[in-house]
Amino acid sequence: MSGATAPLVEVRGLVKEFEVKGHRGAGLVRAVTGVDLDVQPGEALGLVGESGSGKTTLARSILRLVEPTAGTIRLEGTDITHLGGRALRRLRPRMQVVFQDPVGSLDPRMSVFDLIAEPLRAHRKPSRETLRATVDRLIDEVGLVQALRDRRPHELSGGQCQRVAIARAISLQPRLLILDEPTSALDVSVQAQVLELLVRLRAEHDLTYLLISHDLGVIRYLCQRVAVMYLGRIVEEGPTQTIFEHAAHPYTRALVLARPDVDADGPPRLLLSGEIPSATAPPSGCAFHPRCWLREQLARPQECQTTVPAIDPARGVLAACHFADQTDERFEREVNP
Amino acid sequence: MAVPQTRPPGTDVPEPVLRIRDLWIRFRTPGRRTTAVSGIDLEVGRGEILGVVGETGCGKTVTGLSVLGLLPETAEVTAAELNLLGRDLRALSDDDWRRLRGTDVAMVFQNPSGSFNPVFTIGAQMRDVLRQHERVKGAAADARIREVLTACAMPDPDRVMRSYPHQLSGGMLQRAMLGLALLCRPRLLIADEPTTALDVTIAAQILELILRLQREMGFSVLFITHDLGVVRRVCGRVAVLYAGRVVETAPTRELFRAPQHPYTRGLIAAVPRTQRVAGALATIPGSVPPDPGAVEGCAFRDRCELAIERCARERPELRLLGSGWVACHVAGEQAAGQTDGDGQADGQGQADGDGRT
Repeated sequence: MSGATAPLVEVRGLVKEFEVKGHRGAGLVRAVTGVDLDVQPGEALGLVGESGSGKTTLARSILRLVEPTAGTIRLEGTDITHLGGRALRRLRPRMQVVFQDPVGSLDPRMSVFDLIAEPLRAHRKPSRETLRATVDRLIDEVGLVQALRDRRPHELSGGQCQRVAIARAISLQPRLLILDEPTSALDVSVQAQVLELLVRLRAEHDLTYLLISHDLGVIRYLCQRVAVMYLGRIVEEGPTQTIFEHAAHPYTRALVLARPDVDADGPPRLLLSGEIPSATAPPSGCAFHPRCWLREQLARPQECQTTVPAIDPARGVLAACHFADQTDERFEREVNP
Repeated sequence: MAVPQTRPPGTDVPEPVLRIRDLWIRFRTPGRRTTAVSGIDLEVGRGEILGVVGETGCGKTVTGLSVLGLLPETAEVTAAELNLLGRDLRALSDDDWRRLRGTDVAMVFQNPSGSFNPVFTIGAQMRDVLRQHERVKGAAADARIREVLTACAMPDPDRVMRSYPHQLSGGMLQRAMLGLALLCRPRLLIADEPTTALDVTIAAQILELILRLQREMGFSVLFITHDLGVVRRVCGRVAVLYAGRVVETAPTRELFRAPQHPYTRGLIAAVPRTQRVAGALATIPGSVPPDPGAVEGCAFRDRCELAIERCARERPELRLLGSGWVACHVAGEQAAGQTDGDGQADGQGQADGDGRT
């Protein structure tokens, strides 16, 4: 999916395994299983998936917060997979992250001013005047009032804390901002405010977003492109509108249709059976096959159980499904009445 | 001044299982008193699923807990009426509460793993409930448990009974929690964000399960959630809470088709859609006042673009509007007069209710 420009982030063959020790002995969890992903400069890419799909591990690998087991990660063409020490530290200002828990991700003993000033102090060593001016500007930019500058996180609302976290993240003018469920802990009305802020900041600062969310509405609102993960793999990737209206992978279709709809009465239009399998013992072949409704419709073709589908172009997206080319008129009707 | 038709007691729902009138819940902490709920009226009819929606701190969870007598000792509860199945909940002893919980009313929580004891099997905990409430033991108890777990769509009830909570996935544990709650066939189920911690596809399964069990067993549900999509999916009627009060209540279809309270409208408009939507996301400016119980007038007025001078003076009571009840001085006028833009603030004084109720 690479365009004319070089990707900002280029992930190739990324694998991350975690060792787990249970009462039945040690085992390996493959959180990420061979992921290729490009993030284009200036785009907002959404990463969707349910718990255990590996979306957070993928993001943390890009941030170099976890050590990948295999594969490479490039940022602006430079291999950063094994950077350490000073080189890694020099990399940090270019990639920043906002976490889900707005209160927990801020040091409770620091004031709003010091929280926003901390990255600048650590990386830029500005003069007092420059620092003050920069922090003041950031406070305005993220829509906080100056009166809050001496408050501590516990004196702020969740939405205000998340604004502080965003101000910290953009303070070093990063190229890439990774947003890990940035609004999941917020109320709807506050979420809308923060989403609006994120849209504005991206335009003003020419930022690139990698947005992790389980909320498809949030993804649709913020992102131009979406990658859907299931059990450690990207199963579908493409332009947001295409994914939401003509998804090729049966799992994506189920995700889109499972969400209780604020605008429609009636039962869900597609209900998946079964549980999300454990990453310690993923199903053979296509990991989605035990829950796949399309496989049922097609009378359980053998290859779903035996062969892991490659992610290939299908109907305007990339999809990892042996039968992604089978158009599904019912789905099209449901989504685009 | 002409009093609009405000909410008279007990006219909304026939045969209410639960009836709450003018419920106040205050918390005493050293040197401070905060009001979590300031005058809520609610009723849940027989076989009805009533959704209680609102954002953090609106009082929805504490209202649910008050019906189970599970509020902490620092809570001060007063109500004109707090009535479950004809019984006055204000005058119950600890023993009465124990008998009531599980048999008349049961609750499922957002976090099922926190609601089970981690060191006992699911089966042991369910047997314990049957022994306590119904003195049913042994094979008879196991048969009942197996039956309820099967009803909750557990593929292998015996395995579930032998399992410890940590051995089950979040979805399975929520099914077990539901089974535990329904074991003694309660008349009212209080479900507090039962799908919020679950993945989308699993949450959809649990919602369908609750709907099916409700149809089969006929219990009533007080469904507490912040998710408007979930409300529309499962509830027959909705009460929208803001800052410790009911600001609007209506049948679900009507509430979503024609929301009357500016807060309800803002809340619905602020949900990011998965369908293609033109334009920016609607936002509600500002935030909930820190101690809404102390606010004079309407607690929403600082965030409300329709607010008029009267909103600062006078707390709006619930009044009949269309097929629902709304606590707003301005609601109804806008739709009637087709006003737009700055014309909205002009309705001052001409007041509510004229010709509408």
